[in-house]
Amino acid sequence: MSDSILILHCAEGAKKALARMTEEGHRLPPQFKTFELPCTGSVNEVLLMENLQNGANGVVVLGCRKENCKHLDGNLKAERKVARVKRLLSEAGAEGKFVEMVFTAPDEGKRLHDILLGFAQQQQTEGKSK
Amino acid sequence: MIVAEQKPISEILDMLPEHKRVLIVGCDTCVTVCLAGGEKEVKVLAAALRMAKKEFAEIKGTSIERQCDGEFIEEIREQVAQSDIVLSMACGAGVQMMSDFFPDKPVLPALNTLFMGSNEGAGYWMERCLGCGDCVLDLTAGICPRTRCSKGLMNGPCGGSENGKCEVDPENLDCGWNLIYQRLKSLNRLDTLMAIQPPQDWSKSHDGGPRRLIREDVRL
Repeated sequence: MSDSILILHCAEGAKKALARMTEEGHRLPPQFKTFELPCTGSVNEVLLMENLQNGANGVVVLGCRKENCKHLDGNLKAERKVARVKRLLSEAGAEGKFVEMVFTAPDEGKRLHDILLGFAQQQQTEGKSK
Repeated sequence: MIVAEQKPISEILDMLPEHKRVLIVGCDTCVTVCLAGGEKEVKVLAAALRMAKKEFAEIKGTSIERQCDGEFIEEIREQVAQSDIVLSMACGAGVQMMSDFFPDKPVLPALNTLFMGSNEGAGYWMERCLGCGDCVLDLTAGICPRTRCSKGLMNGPCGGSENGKCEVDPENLDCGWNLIYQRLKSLNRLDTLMAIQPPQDWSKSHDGGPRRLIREDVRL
């Protein structure tokens, strides 16, 4: 999984947004891997940290728009877990590793594509500067 | 339970010398319940240290039932032998017990031990007992004045009690003595408050070195 960016997405709005992105012809580079969860509320620190430790350079948690979570507040719970892992990575000085939370609606294929490509480009830029 | 919180990873990294084999040991009792040092927290800390700027020869993790109990510590003697440093995710009692069992290994604390308390809801713990050695909960309707009153008054409330809140944190902190009054009232036991309580006998608390409890009836 080296150099990969793992997208942990929910089975609702985020899954539909990824499908819309593909339908609209926006492709992601091969370093992106996706993994579906029932809801991003099931994301926890162990899942995020162990994926990063096992080779993923970055993990993007992709959930429904705020206040649109099918499970009410799973995306907001995930946001707090992501914030904690960000702090852990920063304290540890884990270079080149990142975790991000992205909220999306099913019809935001283009916007989602831009955001995800942005993470890949940022990673590439940081890699070159080292 | 004993409530603790994890030290910042930067502080843990400062304690650990590089190029050593580190064994992180969790404790499956109190600090698991307060989400500070259980099996899950061991995995997260181990992952953070493996990705940290500092380099270690090896980071391993394990967890035992209780680090304050020798019979469980014995279970990991072999794993400890194969490490250079033990990073304990137990309370201070567990860290010290591990140090006693493995005198040739540095045993370092990954947590700050805070207090004896209760779980008040998701992510919220509160101190309930000071361990003063002289319990008066029979007189105060099961609410500890030494812990719940910010001043530890034995005859309260003080002038800082307003609308049932303590002046120390009027937004979030109940006045312990108001709680005592209200509960005694509901129990129809307000007469209990008419007696003046003598000052706390602190000789039964942390006084004269570590406190010990020896029960001859159960000693071998």
